Amino acid sequence: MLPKISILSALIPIILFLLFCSKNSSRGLWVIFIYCIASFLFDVFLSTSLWAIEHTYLVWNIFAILEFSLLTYFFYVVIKERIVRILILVFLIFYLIIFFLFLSSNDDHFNSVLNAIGSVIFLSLSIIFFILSMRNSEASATFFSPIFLIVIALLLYISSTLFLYIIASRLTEKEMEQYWSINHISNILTNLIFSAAFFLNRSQHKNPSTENAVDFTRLPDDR
Amino acid sequence: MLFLQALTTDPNVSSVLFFGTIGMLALTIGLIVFISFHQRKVIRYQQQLQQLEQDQQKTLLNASIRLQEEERQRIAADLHDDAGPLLATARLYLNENFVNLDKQTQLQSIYNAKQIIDDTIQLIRNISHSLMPPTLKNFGLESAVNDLFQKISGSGSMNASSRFHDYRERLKPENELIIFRIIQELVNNILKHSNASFIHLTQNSSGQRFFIRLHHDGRGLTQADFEKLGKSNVGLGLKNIQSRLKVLQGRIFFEKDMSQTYYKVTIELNREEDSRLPAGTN
Repeated sequence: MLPKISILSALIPIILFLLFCSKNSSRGLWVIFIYCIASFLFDVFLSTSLWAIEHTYLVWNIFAILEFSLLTYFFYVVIKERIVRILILVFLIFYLIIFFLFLSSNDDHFNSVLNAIGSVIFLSLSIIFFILSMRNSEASATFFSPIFLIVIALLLYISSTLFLYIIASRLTEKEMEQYWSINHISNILTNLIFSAAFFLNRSQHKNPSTENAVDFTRLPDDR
Repeated sequence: MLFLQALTTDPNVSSVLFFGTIGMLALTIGLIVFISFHQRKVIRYQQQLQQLEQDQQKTLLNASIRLQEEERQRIAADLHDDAGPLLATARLYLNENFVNLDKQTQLQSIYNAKQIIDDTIQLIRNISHSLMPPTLKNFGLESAVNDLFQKISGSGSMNASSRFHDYRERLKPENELIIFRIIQELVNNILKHSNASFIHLTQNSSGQRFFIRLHHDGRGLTQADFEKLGKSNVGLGLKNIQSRLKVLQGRIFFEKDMSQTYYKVTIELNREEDSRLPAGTN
């Protein structure tokens, strides 16, 4: 039951985005929308395709690289500091190298190292985002922005699944089934916060007076 | 989580997972709470700053309106008390011509009326000059300031001198007027409150920066006094200086000389701002 709810929960932000945000969204929100679609399609594929069920870990690893690319791009869009942007590119290259090293080893199992590295990178980027937002003199807008909610959602998802990913390769099939509920719960929570962010974006565009000086969803560089 | 812990075959793995996940979540929630509180604090601080700025703007605006009203009252009083009676007297003299047909008396009354009309013209000219000094309009800030200082010196009450070191290129006329008004206000304050025996004004430029310095040996203001008076309800003239400088995006500094003998007032402007200001800013 929980896995099905987890898969279907991705539909809520997708529908909310299509209803409220498709016309007036920044690039950052579009990236998260694409991420939600990709996540939903991969989950559906994993639960319906026989080939995918046989090669679950390979599909996961492929999704891991797609997820990493999309979220890296999201942070690249929302963080304006040049040095951090260069750091993001370095992270991406580093991650791709590790990914291809593991791919060439032909191991068909859950890749704990790859996922853990990805989680740590996103954890760092989320913290950097918060520090930069707090340093910003017009930071009052951050607190009310959809981007802020999205980063919170990602931070919660990453922190709740980090240890699961680290020990996942050491778990048996049965243990994996038991513990994977953490991932499902985190996934549902993340999708709900994404939905709230999309809804907030809509209400801010409907009533601009609720916004403060700077709209973090529409910064000049965020094209 | 406890349920999962009970199910696992390896207790070490489950405890790592349990405590690790709980720890990470606690840290994350702590971070989010901290950021939320920090943001609230920042917002409150920004609102306070905004409020302060609004109050300051309001004070400056009120000062400017009050000054304008005072100026109008002064002009009205000059016209009503001086020009009005003079013209009425001239009218009486001219009326006399209808009553008294004696040629000699008529000539005398016309002559008297002419004298009075000349006086009235001079009076109106004086009022007009106090509104916009012709020297400033025709010959610029340097001449107008020199003229003003010569008049002060000529009165014998104080030794006043001015020197412009680098004023080959004139500022925009409207900005010259603003600076002249600021200098007038400062000089008035020195004359009224400082008990000084001399005032000396110098003008200098450094790159795009334009400086005017006033020295005097009386009782003056320091920057702290100026800021304090700027926030209080008194010191209308100083607030007026502030609002005029705001138009020019200039700065003013009040300080005591290193020797502790003189007071120094420095007005600093940017010539770039001068060229950027639209015509008719005043």
